Amino acid sequence: MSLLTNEEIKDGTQTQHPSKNGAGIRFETKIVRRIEEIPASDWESVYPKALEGYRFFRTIDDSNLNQFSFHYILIYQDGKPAGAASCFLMNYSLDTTVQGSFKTFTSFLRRIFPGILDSKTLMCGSPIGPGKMGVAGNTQGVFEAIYKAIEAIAEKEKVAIIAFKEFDSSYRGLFSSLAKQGFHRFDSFPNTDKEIHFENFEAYLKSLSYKTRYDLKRKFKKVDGHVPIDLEITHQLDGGILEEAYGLYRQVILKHPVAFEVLPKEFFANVSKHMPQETRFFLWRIRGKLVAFEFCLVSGDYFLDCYLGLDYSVAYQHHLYFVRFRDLINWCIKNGIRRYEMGCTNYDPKKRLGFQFIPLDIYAKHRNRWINSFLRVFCRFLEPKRFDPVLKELDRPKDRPRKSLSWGVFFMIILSDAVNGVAQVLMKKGLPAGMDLFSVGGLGNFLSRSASSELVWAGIILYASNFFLWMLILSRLDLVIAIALASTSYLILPILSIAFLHEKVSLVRWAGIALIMLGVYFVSRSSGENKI
Amino acid sequence: MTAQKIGAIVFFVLLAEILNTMGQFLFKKTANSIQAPQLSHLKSYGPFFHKVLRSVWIWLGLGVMAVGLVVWLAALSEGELSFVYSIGSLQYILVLLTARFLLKEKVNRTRVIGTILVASGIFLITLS
Repeated sequence: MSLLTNEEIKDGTQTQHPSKNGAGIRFETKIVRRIEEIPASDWESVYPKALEGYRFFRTIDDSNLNQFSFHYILIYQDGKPAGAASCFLMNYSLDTTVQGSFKTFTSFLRRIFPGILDSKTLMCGSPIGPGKMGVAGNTQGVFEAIYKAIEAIAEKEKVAIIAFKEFDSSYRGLFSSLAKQGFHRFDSFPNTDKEIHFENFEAYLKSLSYKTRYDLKRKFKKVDGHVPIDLEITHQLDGGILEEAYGLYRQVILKHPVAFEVLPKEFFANVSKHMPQETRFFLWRIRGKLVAFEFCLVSGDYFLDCYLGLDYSVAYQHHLYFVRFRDLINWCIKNGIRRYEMGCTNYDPKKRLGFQFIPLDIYAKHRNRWINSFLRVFCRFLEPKRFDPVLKELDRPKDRPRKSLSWGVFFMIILSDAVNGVAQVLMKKGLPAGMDLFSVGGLGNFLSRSASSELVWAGIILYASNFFLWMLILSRLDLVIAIALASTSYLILPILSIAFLHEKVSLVRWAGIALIMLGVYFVSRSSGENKI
Repeated sequence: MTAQKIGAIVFFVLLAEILNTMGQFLFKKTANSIQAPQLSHLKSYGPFFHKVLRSVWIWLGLGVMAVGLVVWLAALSEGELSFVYSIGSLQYILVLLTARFLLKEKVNRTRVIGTILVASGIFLITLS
């Protein structure tokens, strides 16, 4: 079965291609480069109801997001729209989500091998916010048709990586067939949202922890009555104000280490044109000078907090982040908003402000089979939660500590080994040797003579204290892992004798040491395997 | 060493291993039934150890371990040190089986390979 040919996509015009799946249902696939080539009613009849829908994509199309090149896929089943998906091409840096010392490493890598971390990627979803997809009727069949269209685009554009970007867990069922296609699922940055059911801001504050509440009140006290901050809410930004607001947005982008998309100025003008009802710009001024701005979308009782702009020369001094947040919450309460959604990143204040985190998944595969199997391992190191202290903590709820190997546990094992080693030496020195143990009397004699030795007792006490350490270790690790890791005790003695006694170590012994280390590496590596 | 004595030592070592593994099994079983403490919060150790010490299984495990220790010492005082220790590496196989069938731990290929590598490494070190 032939899929879309090259010319058809290149034109960017409508492409129609009837295809049949196993059940004999006819699907027609339409791929366009601008969403306006699809009738709005067709798209909206299948795509999930969301603020980031048809008109949002029109805004993006009009705004010259040069880093992305869009494709919109619409599937018709028996002439009726049954599936809708958006995807975009981009050069994705594999280290986008990476922070800290790992980032230093990857930028070093990039200097030596330019291009090694940047791959041409076809992403299904939206560059802005969580991904969505519309499927109706025979959902698995429709999804297959969408996937075939994605593969066809990937083939045509010589794409290296295909990914489904940031879909929430409700899509897991629909996407379950992706595993067979070689996709790996990874955790992305979670989305954040909050139910708003408060009578006033005071009631909201009461729902927060004591520490946060106290901290916020102290901040507001410093600002209120001292700094005149004026708030203006508009549906569009023109000329000079747009320029000013965009400057503040750039400040936030530059400050932030992980930026996936950088929107051009046109976007903020176009969004008022395409979504006049939904768009809200909140502008905060101090003595006429714009110091903060927020771009939000509103629909019914749903509030989507999209982009923030801050003037960092005064932001910290006047606690603008929190003053802004108080105004937004107040506005939400006044306008009957029930759900407040904020985007990804910057999790620490969001957690303190009582937002809940909604996990999002990324499904990705490299189209080269060999690189793909490597990608699976590699991507685990790139998962954002490894780099964000707040997300790391979330992963490990207070009442259920993470059951895997950490450096703390590993240190405890080494300590336990050392105590054990000392205890053994004491025992060996204190025990009577060369006695007949194979008779009742002999055994009794052996026991009574052992019991009279102080060294033996000291050894027993050490063994006993080691028991507590060992129970702590067992509360963290599987028995197989704990026992295997404890075998590092066999390494301590040879290593000490090599280091301090300059003893010659036989080849067999070296081989034994190497085998143990290799085994420990294998076992400890397996302790974190609790993914798909 | 006579064949009879070697047989007796092997028997003692194996008995010690089985007793020791039984003790470990009881320890782990108890640890699984108690809420684990936060490693960084010393305060959470108190309730943890309190529950540990009140568990019957722990005391049974300690008893079994103590008997195992005596048997082990007996074997040590009789046989060559390296010989006794090298048969000791068999315990890893016992632990693997216990974890798989009694504790229902996940025993995948990586873990089996790792454990066998460790056991054979110990065999080599102790034999030489």
